[in-house]
Amino acid sequence: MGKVVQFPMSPPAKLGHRKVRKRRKLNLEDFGQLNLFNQSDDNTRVVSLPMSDSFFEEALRLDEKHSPDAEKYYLLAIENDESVEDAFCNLGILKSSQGDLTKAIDYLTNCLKKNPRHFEAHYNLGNVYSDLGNLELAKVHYELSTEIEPEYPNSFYNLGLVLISLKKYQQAIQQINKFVELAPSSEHQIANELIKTLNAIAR
Amino acid sequence: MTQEKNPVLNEHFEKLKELLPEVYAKHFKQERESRNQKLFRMLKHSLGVIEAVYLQNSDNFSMSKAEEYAKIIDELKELGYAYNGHHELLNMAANFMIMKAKKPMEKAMGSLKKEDQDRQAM
Repeated sequence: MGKVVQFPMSPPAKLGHRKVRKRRKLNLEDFGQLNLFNQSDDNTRVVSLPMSDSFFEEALRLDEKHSPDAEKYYLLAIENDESVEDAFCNLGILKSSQGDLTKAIDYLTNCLKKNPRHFEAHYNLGNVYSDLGNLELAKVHYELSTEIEPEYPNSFYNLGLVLISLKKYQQAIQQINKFVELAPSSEHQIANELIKTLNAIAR
Repeated sequence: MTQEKNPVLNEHFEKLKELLPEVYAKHFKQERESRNQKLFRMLKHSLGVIEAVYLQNSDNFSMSKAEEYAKIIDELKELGYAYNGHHELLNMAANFMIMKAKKPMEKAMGSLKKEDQDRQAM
């Protein structure tokens, strides 16, 4: 007769989720490894590093986000001799948007002191002078920006508007036509309407 | 005559007179007119003060102030009042409105722009 052997019974393993248990922390230094994860109790200040390589690039990044720190970084860029003329130019834009047109002119002319052929500075000065109502000076700066960068359409458009204000309609039509030649087709409609109106006035 | 021909309308206007006596009563109408005239005179006087301020020191007169001045005159015209306004100030406001349509300022991009240009050239 065969002998019945009792099958060893063990409680079935519990299937399903398994909780994470708190493990005892290993002291890595016991294994000769430097423990980098131990937090010290001192109140060391955490400083966020700039995201960009240079002060100017950081300023540009902050400027895009309309952060008030942009101005500080542009000034740091100037102190550190990084893209000085461009930093002055962008500070001029910042000041103009804050309504401080005198300071805007100061920064933009500082940019021109560094580079008298700085296209953006001339174009932006045109905008500032037209905001101030000094149309003759605005005209000069727009004209200079069209000379320096003849492929940039917006200088021609703004120059056209100044010429309308100065009642020089034929010249205005010429400038706005140049804008139409250079600008993408999405911007043609308003300019064409303007030309139509000007043609009617100029007759 | 019209009232005789349109009894329905006649009744309607009688009702309106009852509901809004201040609109239909003659004396109210005259009073309102004279009050409007008084307001118009005051407004003309105020506009005159603005013009005097401009003439005394035109350099300190901002373009946006000129625009507000022109808006008042436009609204007066829309309400049926005749006031020509100061030619120079109106011209200044018109220029301001034209230049409001200008293209925005252009940021200088430093070396980023130069890199882009190099890439385009390649």
